[in-house]
Amino acid sequence: MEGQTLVTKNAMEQLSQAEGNFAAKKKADALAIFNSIPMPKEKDEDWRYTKIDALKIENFSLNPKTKISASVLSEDLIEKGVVLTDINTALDKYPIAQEYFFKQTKIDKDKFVALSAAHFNSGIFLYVPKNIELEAPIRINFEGAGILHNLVIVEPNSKLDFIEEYSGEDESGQLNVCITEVFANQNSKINYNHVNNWTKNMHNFTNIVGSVERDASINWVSGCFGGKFNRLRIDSLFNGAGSECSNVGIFLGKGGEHIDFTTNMYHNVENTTNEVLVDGILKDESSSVYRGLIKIDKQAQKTWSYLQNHILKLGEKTLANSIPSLKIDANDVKASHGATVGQVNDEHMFYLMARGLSREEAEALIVEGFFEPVIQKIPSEELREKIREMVRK
Amino acid sequence: MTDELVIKELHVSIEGKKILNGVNLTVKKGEVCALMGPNGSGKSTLAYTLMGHPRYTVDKGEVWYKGKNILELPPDERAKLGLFLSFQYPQEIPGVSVSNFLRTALNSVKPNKVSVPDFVKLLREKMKLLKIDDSFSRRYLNEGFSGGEKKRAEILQLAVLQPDMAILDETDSGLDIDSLKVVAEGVNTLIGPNVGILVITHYQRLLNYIKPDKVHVMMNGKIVKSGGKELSEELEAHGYKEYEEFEGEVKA
Ligand SMILES: Nc1ncnc2c1ncn2[C@@H]1O[C@H](COP(=O)(O)OP(=O)(O)OP(=O)(O)O)[C@@H](O)[C@H]1O
Ligand SMILES: [Mg+2]
Repeated sequence: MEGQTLVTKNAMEQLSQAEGNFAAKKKADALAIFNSIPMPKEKDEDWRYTKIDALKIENFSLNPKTKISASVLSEDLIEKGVVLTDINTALDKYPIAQEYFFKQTKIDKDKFVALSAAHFNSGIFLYVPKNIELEAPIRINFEGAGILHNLVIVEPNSKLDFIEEYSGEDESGQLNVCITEVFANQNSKINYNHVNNWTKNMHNFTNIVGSVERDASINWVSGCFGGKFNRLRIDSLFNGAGSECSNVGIFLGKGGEHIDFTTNMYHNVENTTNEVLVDGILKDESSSVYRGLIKIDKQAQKTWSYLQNHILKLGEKTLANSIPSLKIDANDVKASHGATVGQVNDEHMFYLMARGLSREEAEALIVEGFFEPVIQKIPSEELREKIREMVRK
Repeated sequence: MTDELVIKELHVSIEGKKILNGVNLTVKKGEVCALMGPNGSGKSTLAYTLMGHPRYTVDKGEVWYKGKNILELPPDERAKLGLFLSFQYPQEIPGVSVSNFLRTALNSVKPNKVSVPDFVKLLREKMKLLKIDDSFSRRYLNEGFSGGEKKRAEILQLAVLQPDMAILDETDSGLDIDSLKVVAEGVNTLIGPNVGILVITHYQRLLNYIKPDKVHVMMNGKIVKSGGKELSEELEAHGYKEYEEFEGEVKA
């Protein structure tokens, strides 16, 4: 990948020395909150079916060194005011970063959000001023565990394609905790693509919150692959009339992996549109829980919101839980949800094997076929191919 | 002689219910055998058993092909030996395109890998022969295909995979008269000195195009009569009534 290293180990150390008062103050406040809220328990509604009770935060490094590499902005974009830098620099230098920092994310509701707020040492800041359509996607690669805060702001009438990839683990710890705040301001359009490909000891807690203003849209695409414990939560806040989201999620569990995937859609104003499709496959002894909430407020009339979740279990020992829910307080809306958990159809297997495919080849083809409809919903051809490849592996 | 498919005293049951009661049948290399018989007599059961469907339990008997008792082999090994079944009810496989599937299958059954351009050429050629629109190769396997389209797609697979021994289970049902001709032509281009075919059908119509060397009649899981092509014409005219009696005599 062509790119520049945003934060090297040394540079990051220097940055944390030079960290301004703003971030230090915020972190100190967050630390107090982090210390005051208890660890979640498996019996809590938000953590059901996830074996969180055994996890001890103190076993992990809270100062991991993530390696981040990113696209290089063209001179032209820099001149137009597009900013791509690390979060620490941004909080020091740009009032707008301070203004949006934790604007939409509640610290005190989730232990791991609080952890990230108190301990983040890295992350990216991306700012797109108004009336700018970025032609090429912005790509960010995160390598190794991190405690991160990312902030993405797209101003009115602008357009951004964003691709972030997380991979690997490093020696300093196998705990990755990340908050990403995304702001799609009036009539802007964001294609937000998140792929994680963790190795087998990683514990990941990622919370992404997107705020969609009037006539703006965010198309989320996320792929979860690997990790011992992979929790990804995406909240979409429909804050402006005419706003739209689509949320395409794909996960593949293998070995003893556990995937914990949440999409929450909060329809707060009238005339907003949403479509969620999350499909997952579980192999070996892997397990998953998917929670999908559609919440429609009293004033959010003329909402159109749909959610589908399909899971294919490829082993007797896999465990799938699907918890879709609808909370509707308005009366003039269209909304529905559905979830299926299934196994490979024996007749399909026989049909393919009767044509000469081995059991493994037949299963691989069924897996690819299961994901194909959801992959077709990914706007970026590059990402479609990438995800197909990860599924084949 | 080892290229013959030899079925000996085959007894098969499903969930404890006996369906085949001692089938003896041989299909020679280069020979077309027709298998006829009333609904529920066990024709598809025989076809599935020959291909190795796990639902069917073989209680007794042997099936020899190319020097192996194939009943001991999983379905994919049977396909690799050159056996092919055109299904009476082909499965719809979501998300798997016809071309992706067929390329995987071809590479499984043939010893040498076929390159993508060579495969595309082969597929195009066979689709043209069977008058199948190009767009079909990109569609998901049998998904949303009409009954007739599914049967045509089965024969496309037959044409691409070029097996040595093909079982066609009611490939004619669901086909209109024009499609029947096209499909029969497709089958005929395959028939040569090396291919054996077992055609399961209820109708004389198909046998006008694919001319059988032998006709066998199955009743209650047994072959009750064998003969030449004239037997199928007789059946078309008179049905299976007399064989029911005939079978009674055999039992007595
Ligand atoms: N899964 C099953 N469980 C129980 N009985 C079955 C099952 N599958 C088939 N049978 C029975 O086995 C018998 C033979 O069925 P088969 O499909 O082989 O008949 P066929 O000769 O192919 O009929 P058709 O001409 O209608 O296609 C029938 O009585 C059928 O009901
Ligand atoms: Mg049948």
